[in-house]
Amino acid sequence: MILGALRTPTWFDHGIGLLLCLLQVGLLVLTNDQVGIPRDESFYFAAADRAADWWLADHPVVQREGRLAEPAIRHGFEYNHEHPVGMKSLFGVSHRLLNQKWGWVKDHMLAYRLPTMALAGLATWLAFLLGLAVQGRAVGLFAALALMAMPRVFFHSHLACFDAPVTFAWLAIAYSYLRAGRSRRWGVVAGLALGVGFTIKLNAFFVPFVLLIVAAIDAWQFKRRTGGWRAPAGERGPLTYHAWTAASMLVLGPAVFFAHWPWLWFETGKHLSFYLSFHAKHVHYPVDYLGTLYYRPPFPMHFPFVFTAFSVPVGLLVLGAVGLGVTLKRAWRAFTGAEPTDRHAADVFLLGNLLAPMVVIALPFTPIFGGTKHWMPSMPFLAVLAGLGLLRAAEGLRPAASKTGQGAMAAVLALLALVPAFWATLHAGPHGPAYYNALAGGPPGAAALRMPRNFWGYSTIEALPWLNAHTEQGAMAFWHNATAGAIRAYQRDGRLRADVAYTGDWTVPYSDWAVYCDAREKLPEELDIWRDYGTQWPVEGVFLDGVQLIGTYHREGRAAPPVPAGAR
Amino acid sequence: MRRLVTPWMLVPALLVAAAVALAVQQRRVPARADWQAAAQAVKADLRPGDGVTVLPEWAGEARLALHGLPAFLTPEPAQADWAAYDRVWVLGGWGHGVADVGGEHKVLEQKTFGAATLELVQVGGEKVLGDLRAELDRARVERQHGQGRIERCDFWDGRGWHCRLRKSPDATRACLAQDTRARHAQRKRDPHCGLDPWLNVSRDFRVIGDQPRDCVWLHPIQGGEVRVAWPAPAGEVVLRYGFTDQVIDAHDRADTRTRPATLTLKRGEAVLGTHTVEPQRGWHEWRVASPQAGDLVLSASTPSQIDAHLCVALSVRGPR
Repeated sequence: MILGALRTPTWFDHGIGLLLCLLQVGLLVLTNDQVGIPRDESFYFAAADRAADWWLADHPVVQREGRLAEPAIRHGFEYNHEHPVGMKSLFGVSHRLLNQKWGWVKDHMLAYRLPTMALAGLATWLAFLLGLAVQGRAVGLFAALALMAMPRVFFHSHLACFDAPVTFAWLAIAYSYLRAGRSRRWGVVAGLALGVGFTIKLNAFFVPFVLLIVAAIDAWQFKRRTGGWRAPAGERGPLTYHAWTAASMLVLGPAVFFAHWPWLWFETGKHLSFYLSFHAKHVHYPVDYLGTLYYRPPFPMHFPFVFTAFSVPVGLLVLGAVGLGVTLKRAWRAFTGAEPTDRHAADVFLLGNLLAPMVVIALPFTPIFGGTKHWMPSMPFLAVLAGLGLLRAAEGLRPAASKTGQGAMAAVLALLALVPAFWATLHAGPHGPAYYNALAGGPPGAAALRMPRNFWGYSTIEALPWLNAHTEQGAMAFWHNATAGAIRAYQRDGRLRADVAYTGDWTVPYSDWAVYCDAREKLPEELDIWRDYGTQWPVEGVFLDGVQLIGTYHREGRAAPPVPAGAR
Repeated sequence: MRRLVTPWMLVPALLVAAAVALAVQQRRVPARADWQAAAQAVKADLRPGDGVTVLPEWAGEARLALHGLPAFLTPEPAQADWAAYDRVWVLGGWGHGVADVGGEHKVLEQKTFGAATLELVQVGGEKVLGDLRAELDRARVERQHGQGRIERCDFWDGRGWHCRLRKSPDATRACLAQDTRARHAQRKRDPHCGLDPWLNVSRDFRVIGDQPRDCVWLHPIQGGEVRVAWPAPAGEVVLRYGFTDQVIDAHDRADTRTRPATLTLKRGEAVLGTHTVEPQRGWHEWRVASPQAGDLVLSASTPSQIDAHLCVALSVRGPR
C-alpha cells in the first residue's frame, strides 16, 4: 500500500471540504465582473455555443441531420478542434441552460464560466482531502486556503478556459490514484479521472508518467519491507493495486477521451493526429523574461522555477520551501536508509506532482507558451507542501510544547502567511498575470526586471467604465488584443455601450480610440498608435500599483495636412 | 537548557519580513494625484527649451499627467540624450530620478509630491542645434532609380514625404482629412488614401535595439537611392540608425530577410562618410564633424528592399 497512514475523510471532513468549495466558488462569482475575457476565452465561448447546439440538439442542423451525422458533428465540434470538448461542452450547456433557457444566471459571461468556478471549488475541496490524507486536517485546511490565496490561480479559476479545470483534473487523478493504493474501486475512479483529464487539456497525458514512478517506488519499498514483490496469500500488495489502477487508466482513460469527443468518431486517425501534432509543434508565444524577449526556443530552463518564486505569495513560498525541504529529506533518507518505509512513496508522490508540470515546461524543446497557467497543476501540491511546512515549523519553534501549543503556533504562522496572500489575491487577483510577490518587488519590481504582465487582452474589462463615460456616440475604437468576440460579449452583458464600434485587428489608422494592452512583445503596436494618433500619452488607463496594464489613447481629430513650401 | 534561538525562527522572521515588504512596497507607489500635482508644478514654471520626462520609464500612470507638456520618454536612463533641451524636469518614483541618468547635469530644484518626486536639472554637455525629425517638413526628399531617373517626393501627408500618389494632391489631402468612420469604410479599397505606407520618409516611432526610438523612417529602395536634403547648421553631425527589431530577430523565422543598407552623408557635394548598416539588432551612432552650414544630404541604398525597415535620427550638435 502506498500510504500506511493514509487518512480517510469522514463526513465531517467532507463538510469542511464542501464549505471551502462553496467559499471559493462564492469568491469567484463575486469577483467575476473584475476579470476580463482573454482572447482564448472568447474563442471558447463560440466553441461552447456550438458544442451546446450538439449536446442539447437545439440547432436546426443537428435536429435535421441527427446527432451522429457528420454535418451535425462538424457543426458542433469542427470549430476550435485543436482542443478536446469536455470543458467547452460544459461552458456551452451551462450558458444555454442557466442563462438562455432557464434565466437563472442573467450574466452571460458568468454562465459560461460557472463550470470552471465549480471545478476550482472542487479543487479546493480536493486539496483539503489530499492534505488530510498525507498528514491531517490542519494540513488540509491550510492547503485549501493557500490554494485559494494564490492570485494567479484565483485569476484563472474565473475563466471559461482549461487551466483551472486541468489543475482540478490533475489533482483528481492524483488523489484517486493515492486512494487506489488500498482500494480497487478507487482504481476505477482513477481511470475515469484520467479520462476526464484527457477531455480537458493535454497536460493530463503527463500524469500517468509521474504516477508510474511513484508506483515503482511503492512496490520497491514493499519488497524491501517484506522481501518479496507479491503479498502473502490472501492479501493484496502494491503491485496488485497498481496493476489494477494501470489497467483502469489504460482502458478507461482513452475510452472516456474517445467517447466524449464526437469529432474523433469519424476520420479518427486524421483528427487525432492533428490534435497531437498541433500541440507538439505549437507556435511559440513571445515572452519577456528578465529583460530578454524570447521568440524561439530554447527557453531558459529556470523559467518556470523563477516565475513560480516571483508569482506565489512569499509566505506560501516560505512554508512551501520548508515543506519541500522536509519532504525531500525524508524521501532521500527512505531511499538511502536501511529502514524501508511506506511513507516514501507518498513523499515522492507529492514531489513528483509538484515538479512534473514545471519540468515539462522547463525542457528546452518544449514550445514557448510563456505563462504560469501552464504549470498551474503544481500549485495544489505546493499548497499541501506548505501545509506540511507549517506544521513542521510550528513543531520546530515549540518542540517542547503540547499539541495545543504547537497548534497555536501553527495558527499564528498560518495567519502570517495567509493574510498577506489573501490581501494580494483580492488586490491583484483580477489582474492575475500582472501579480508579482514582494520578492520580485511587486508589479513595479517585475516591470523593472522586465517580466510580462499582460495576457491577451484580459484587462480590457477595467477600461470599459471610463470608455462608457467618455467616448462619443458611435466611437470608433481599436481594441488591441481583445477579440471581436470579447467585445461583443462585453456589450451583450451591458459592460460596454452597444454603440462603441470594434474597428478590427490592425486598424489603428481607422480608429479614434485605442485600448492598448501592455506587453513588451506588443510594443511595436503601441508605437503604431503613437505614430498614427500623434501622441505618446494615454488619456486614461488601467494600472496595477502604478504600472500600466492598459493604455487608452485618443486621436484629437483629423485635418488636411498643411502644404510646406515647395511641396505639391 | 532550552535553546531560545533556533533556525526555525527564520520562518516567522521571513513571514513577517514578507508582510512588511508588501506594506512598504505599497507605500512607495505614487498615486495618480501625486503625478498630477508634480505635472502642475512643472506647468507653473515651464520655460521655452524645457523638456519633461518620467523615471522609471515603466511608471505608466505618470504618463497620464504629461499632456500639454514638452514630454519625452527616457527608456535607457544611463544613455539618456537630453541635448535637445536646456532644462529637464524629471518626474520620479520608486527612488528613481536624475541619479539614474548619465551626463553632466546639475540639479537645480527638488520637490516631493506624495510618493512622487520632481527634479529640475540644468542640462550639460553638447546641445542640439538642429534636428531632422523636428524639421522634416523643411527637408527635400527624392529617389534616384537604377537608371538614373530622379523622382521627387514632394507630397507632405502631415508626417512625412511621399513620392507617388494614386490621386491628385488635393484629392489625397481631402481623403486624409475625412473623418474616421469614412476612412474605416474605405479601408479595404483605399486604405492609405493612395499613399505608399512603406516607401516614404516620415516622422516615426519604431522599436530598435529593444527600445522605442523617435526617428525618421527611411526605407531604402532596391538598386536606387533615397536622398534627404536638409538645410542644417554647422556642427558635429550625429546620425543614429538601425533596422527595426521586428525584421531583425523579433520573429520566429530562422533568420532575418533584411540585407545590409548603405548610408552616405554629404554636406553639399562633399562626402562626409559612408556607413554600412548591417542587419543586426541595435541602435548605432555615427558622428562626423562638419563645420560648414548648408544642405546636409543623407542617402540610403540597399540591394534588396525586403524588410529594409530602416529608421534614423539625424541631428547637428555643438557646445552650449
